[in-house]
Amino acid sequence: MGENFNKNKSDEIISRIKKEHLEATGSITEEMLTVVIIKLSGEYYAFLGEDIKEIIQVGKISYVPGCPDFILGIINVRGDVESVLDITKFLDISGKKSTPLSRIAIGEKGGIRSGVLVDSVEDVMEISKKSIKPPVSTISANIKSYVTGEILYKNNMTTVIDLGEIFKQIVL
Amino acid sequence: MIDIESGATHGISNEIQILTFSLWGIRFGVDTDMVYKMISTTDVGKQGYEILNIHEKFKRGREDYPYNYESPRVLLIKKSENELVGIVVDKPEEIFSVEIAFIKPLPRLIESSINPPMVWGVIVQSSEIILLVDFYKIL
Repeated sequence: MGENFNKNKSDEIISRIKKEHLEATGSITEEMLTVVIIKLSGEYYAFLGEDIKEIIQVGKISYVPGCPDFILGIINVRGDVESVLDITKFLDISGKKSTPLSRIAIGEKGGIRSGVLVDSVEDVMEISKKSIKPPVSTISANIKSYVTGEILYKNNMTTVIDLGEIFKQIVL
Repeated sequence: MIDIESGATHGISNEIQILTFSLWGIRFGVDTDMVYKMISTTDVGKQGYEILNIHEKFKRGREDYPYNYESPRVLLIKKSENELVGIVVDKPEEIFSVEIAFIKPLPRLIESSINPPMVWGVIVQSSEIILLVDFYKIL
């Protein structure tokens, strides 16, 4: 015993254990991002977390005459005036009346900021970027440009909405 | 009858005087520089002015039409040098001065899509929103 003792043996063992653990669990540098799960017309949808600056309760929305029907009006958020959108028009779904669960998600993308009325906010969670799948091929051409992709949430295929594209479309 | 001095403006001062009125629970404000006179609905009938009902210009959906005016008044607006038009508004409330610095522009998404652009700015007063309207955009 001892003649061929490897002084680095413990380091080598630990190094091997770490390598095997890494291979088993995948890369520790996997890109993660936050998504906000909401409901619109009873269905789950998602926003990218980086597109959402805050979520507030629905107060008084002042209707602004002359606006298209997807602009519900404006609200006062701590002295700032924000527009409020009904994005169901862009997703080919029917809107629902506000309930106590309704919220306004303040979104900002591409230098454009607006509130978006949602039926409820269900969850905020981290997912890996690669878990966002491309939109299904059967998706309507009308809404395809407003969809980043799809994720699985509570066993439901959940559309991830591209808020920036909706904002850009309105401004054009 | 209540007279409101219109006067001509030479350049833009640092503040404007606003007359507020309400429709569908929303407060609107008009620059009193735009208003020649405010008169009653009975007086306007006698004087034969062209009349516009503001709710018809602001209508927001079939469920809100017709609108039942509670305290209607007529704002006489100068359509041209020799022509006055009466705009019927509801519940005129107060007149106050506001510094131009406190007027907020419309949010970008609204500014780019509003048509006609009769709402031109917003004042936030005691947490309440007042929409500033330019009647010239609807005459």
